[in-house]
Amino acid sequence: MSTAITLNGTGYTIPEMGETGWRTTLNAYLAALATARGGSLVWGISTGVTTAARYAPPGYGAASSSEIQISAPATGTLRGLYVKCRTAAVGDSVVVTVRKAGAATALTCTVAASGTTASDTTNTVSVTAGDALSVSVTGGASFSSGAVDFLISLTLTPS
Amino acid sequence: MSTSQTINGNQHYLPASDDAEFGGVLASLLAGLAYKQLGHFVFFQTVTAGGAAYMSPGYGAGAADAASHVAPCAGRIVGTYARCRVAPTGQGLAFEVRKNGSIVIGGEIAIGETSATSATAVSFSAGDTFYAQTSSGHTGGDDASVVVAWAPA
Repeated sequence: MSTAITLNGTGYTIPEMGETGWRTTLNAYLAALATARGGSLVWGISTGVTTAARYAPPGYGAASSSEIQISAPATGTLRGLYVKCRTAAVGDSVVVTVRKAGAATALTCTVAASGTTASDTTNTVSVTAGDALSVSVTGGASFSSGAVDFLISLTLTPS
Repeated sequence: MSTSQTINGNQHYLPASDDAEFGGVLASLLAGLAYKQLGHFVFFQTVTAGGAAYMSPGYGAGAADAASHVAPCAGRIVGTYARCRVAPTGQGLAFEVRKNGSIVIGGEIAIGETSATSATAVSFSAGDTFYAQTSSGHTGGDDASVVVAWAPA
């Protein structure tokens, strides 16, 4: 009798050993399991988003004009960038960018003017344990206020 | 024909079910999944010069006393990564991590450097507490962080 397993919303029907396709299905499930496992990294800005680049502290605190970096706790892949602010950005959009070793990566998203959420579920970034990670937040030229209690989270999947 | 998975940097081959090594390989693969790093504790201190001090769990200027992270499950520390934005001068920026009050990990960001790593492995139980301290005697060392990576036991 086959066994049905759901992982991240995808169903896998694992056949009995010896049945056609059992190993392929099991392998697909294990690959998905390896990708699904991971830890979250969280940054948060209480206040301080401006039209100039500001940096989010790990956890939660006021935005900084100096780049605040922490070390990656494992070698792996960063993915699934999600942001949420309590009050909407006023006047212009706000760009959030994950940075590695002081340089922007492809992991980025934009909270639209009057918006409170954004995400990047497409791009990924490879990291090595100990790499310097930071997150920059920059309001567009017409940004005037809002974007308060701005939380940023992503997943680090170890390789 | 075998298939393969890479876990924790190791490639595991999954042979056909009637191969003699099937059970052992599958067990190794599943064990690799179980030991993938899943958690981390972050300590932060915006200003470290001026005297030995406790770091803030998460983010902050520093703590007045031993403010601790608490382990949500049993596990094992697999690596510790210290970093600061401003390199220390005069002498290195030493740091230590204490489990239930006892030093379990120590290290130092050397003069002129901005990072240091410790590979010391430490086992812990659910409910164990961890706090971090930095040393005195240096200048610089601003925006210091200590990231403690751990895996569930």
